[in-house]
Amino acid sequence: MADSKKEATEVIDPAVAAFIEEDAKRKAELEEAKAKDFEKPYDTEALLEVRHLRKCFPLQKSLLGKVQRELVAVDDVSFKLNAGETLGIVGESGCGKTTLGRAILKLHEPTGGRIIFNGEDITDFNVKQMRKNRTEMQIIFQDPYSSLPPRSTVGDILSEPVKVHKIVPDSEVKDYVMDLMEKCGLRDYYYERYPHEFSGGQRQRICIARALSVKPKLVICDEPVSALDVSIQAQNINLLKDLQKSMNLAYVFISHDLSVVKFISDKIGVMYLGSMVEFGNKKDIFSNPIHPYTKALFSAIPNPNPDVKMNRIVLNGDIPSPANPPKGCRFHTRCPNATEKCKYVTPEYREYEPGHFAACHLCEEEFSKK
Amino acid sequence: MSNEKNTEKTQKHYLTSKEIKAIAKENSKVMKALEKKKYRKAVESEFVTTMKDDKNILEIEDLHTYFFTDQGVVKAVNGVSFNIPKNSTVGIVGESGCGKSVTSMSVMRLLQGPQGQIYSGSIRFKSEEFKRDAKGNPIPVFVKDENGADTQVQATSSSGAPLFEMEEKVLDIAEMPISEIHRIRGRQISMIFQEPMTSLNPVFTIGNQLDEVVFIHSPGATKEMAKKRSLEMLELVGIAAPERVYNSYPHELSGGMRQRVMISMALICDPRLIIADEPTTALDVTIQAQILDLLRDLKDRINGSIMLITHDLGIIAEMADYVVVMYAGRVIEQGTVSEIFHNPMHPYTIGLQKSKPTMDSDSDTLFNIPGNVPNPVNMPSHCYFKERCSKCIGKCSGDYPGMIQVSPTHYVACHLYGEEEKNG
Ligand SMILES: Nc1ncnc2c1ncn2[C@@H]1O[C@H](COP(=O)(O)OP(=O)(O)OP(=O)(O)O)[C@@H](O)[C@H]1O
Ligand SMILES: Nc1ncnc2c1ncn2[C@@H]1O[C@H](COP(=O)(O)OP(=O)(O)O)[C@@H](O)[C@H]1O
Ligand code: SF4
Ligand code: SF4
Ligand SMILES: [Mg+2]
Ligand SMILES: [Mg+2]
Repeated sequence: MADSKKEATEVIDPAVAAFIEEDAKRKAELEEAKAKDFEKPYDTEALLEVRHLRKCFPLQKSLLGKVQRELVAVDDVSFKLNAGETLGIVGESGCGKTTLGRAILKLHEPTGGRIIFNGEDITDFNVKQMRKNRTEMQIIFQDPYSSLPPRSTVGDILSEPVKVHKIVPDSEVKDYVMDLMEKCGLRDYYYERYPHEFSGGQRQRICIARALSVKPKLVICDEPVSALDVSIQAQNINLLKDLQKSMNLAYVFISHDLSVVKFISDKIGVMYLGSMVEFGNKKDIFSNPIHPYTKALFSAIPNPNPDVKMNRIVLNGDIPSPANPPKGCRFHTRCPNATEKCKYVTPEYREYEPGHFAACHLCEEEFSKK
Repeated sequence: MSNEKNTEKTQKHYLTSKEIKAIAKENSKVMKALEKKKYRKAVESEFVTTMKDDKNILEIEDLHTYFFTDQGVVKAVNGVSFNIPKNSTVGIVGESGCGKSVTSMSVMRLLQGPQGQIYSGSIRFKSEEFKRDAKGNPIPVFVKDENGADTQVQATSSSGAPLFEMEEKVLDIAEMPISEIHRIRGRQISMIFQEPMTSLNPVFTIGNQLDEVVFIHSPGATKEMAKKRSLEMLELVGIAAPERVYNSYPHELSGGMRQRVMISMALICDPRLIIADEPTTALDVTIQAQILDLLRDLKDRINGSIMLITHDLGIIAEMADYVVVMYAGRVIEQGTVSEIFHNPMHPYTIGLQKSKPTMDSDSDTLFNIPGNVPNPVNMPSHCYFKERCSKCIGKCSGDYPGMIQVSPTHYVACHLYGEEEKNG
């Protein structure tokens, strides 16, 4: 805050000064609201609730080990997810999707905010306390090539977690694994084979089976089909959807491919430079996107029909560095609708329709007119 | 079940060391012969040829490009034929590993030897080069000096580079010795790669690298001319601060900017053909949109052709005039963009289009093609798609289907479209 005051004296334009003041005021209000938010009771219906989650990575440390500069990879992200639902996270590379996914699993220690899983605040759990949750929360990685141990057979890879977490009695492990393999579209003779003998799509199925072997409730899928070919992609997306139905799984599905996300998700979150800029039900987001970035993102998808003339919103410029994000609205350097205000005042993340959130001054104005 | 296990065992995945030695011995014989041909001294008449159709800039005919590995011969490109007409964009689609990049590497003669070799086939390119005098020097274009009435001076281009007389020749790239390839590569055909960082040198500034290309292309250009041309090109690809980028090192630029620099580098030589191998796969959708707009705009401005390789049917629909669909090293269907999208005929093309979730579909399950691409070392003798095809008929267990013409521009290789089309 001291910073912005100093700048205000340098700037002559009174309009700008007013904006800076407004921003400071809003930020203070936001902090207050946040503090109140943390005291609210947990939603007992939601399987996963994330409140104002923040994750920073240190960039520079002083000699004494004090952090001097940091990169805010995830900034103030909040959402709820019910059992059996899919939340799709979209956004450009480096916008913090993976970091968000890993922070939810506490594979990254969150810097701020709360994670409530199954009615329990797990934010401050230690490793021992997390062990129980480990079986209920699983992750599938993007790269099916490096995430499987090369020297173990498929059978060993799938049996190990079942034994460690005592999912079924030892005598039933093999039957359990065989059954799981069948569900995941893996033939039974794969049991004695090694990962390198399989194609990318089959390896991804092994990863899926491994994640599901411990009967999780929530699976974070980080770009689970991006490394696969189109025709193999479709096989695995269908598999994920079938398994969701039969095992009542909740997915956080991270992808940069909007058409895949649209196909699999119930809710969608759009991220830009670490923040959630729009969040809502799939229907609302696709039929009525309200944030300019979401609109641009949708219009940028190439349409596989040569007759449709594209009416594209072309964004100028490159994605700014997350180590040094723009002031005010982070999207203002590329937004076709940006105004002077956007350069200084951070827009508030607000609910515009039931369950449909966005952070943009333009939406704020439009809705206040209504 | 046990039966299935046994058949699996007999189709083993490991070769014995004896078998590997035998393969290696056989391979080294063939590789040696092909390497010898590659490094031979040849007179021009050995690789000058004629085009089948004068409208084309590139004609690929029955190209076979193999990799001689110790596991066996990988027939990465196994009899590919297609043409690239002047001033058009030809899109090549197909699954990863189907030979798209190997086809483009063959055209550029960038295959990694001695394993990677063009085994047979021709790649005819309509080349336009400096006309040379008996001593092999380029012949300058002379114009009357504006000041003196009688003196003649060499003509210059808009950026001030001296001009020379040009002539057209058709060259068979597959037959050229590697020492001659500089006449084409990076001068008349340039390439844009998927990962721009790997093709930019990290220790030189962008300006250094661009100027270098200008000097190669226009002999006799001065440093100032080179810089002028480089800045012009950076501006052409939509870089807002060309002077700043000119003085930057590659790592100081973002992915989108690096890709623009690569494109400007590919354009410096006024190429007649640009090969873009997955030019936007490493980029985000919004940056991808910028680059696609740029490429489309450039094709008309430089009056050239583009060979666009991608696995994204959406990009093809937007950019291409003609489409070539590849599967396991072969072309299985080709036609105009509207033929391929409105009247796809090969079961693989049809499946490919159906398996991509679209933004306006609302169905509950995605169509998918079961199974995988066959092992590239042991290709079957029947249709390569047979194990995954749902429309398979009796004939499909026989020979590999030939190419059938269904319209002046539409071809398909599938037994479903047999005699009646041929006759009718
Ligand atoms: N250096 C090499 N040695 C051996 N085999 C190779 C080599 N390069 C390519 N291949 C093989 O050639 C085939 C075609 O490869 P290519 O790179 O052209 O595929 P692609 O269609 O471009 O795929 P992608 O979409 O993954 O880039 C593959 O089976 C591949 O394994
Ligand atoms: N361990 C780390 N140390 C420092 N920066 C990191 C680390 N992991 C991620 N980041 C940075 O955080 C940002 C978000 O990264 P990530 O979540 O991996 O992006 P995405 O998955 O959307 O591509 C990026 O700018 C990335 O460079
Ligand atoms: S707040 Fe302003 S800059 Fe940000 S998205 Fe809305 S209109 Fe664009
Ligand atoms: S030839 Fe037969 S197996 Fe091959 S694609 Fe056509 S119908 Fe299918
Ligand atoms: Mg990621
Ligand atoms: Mg490739």
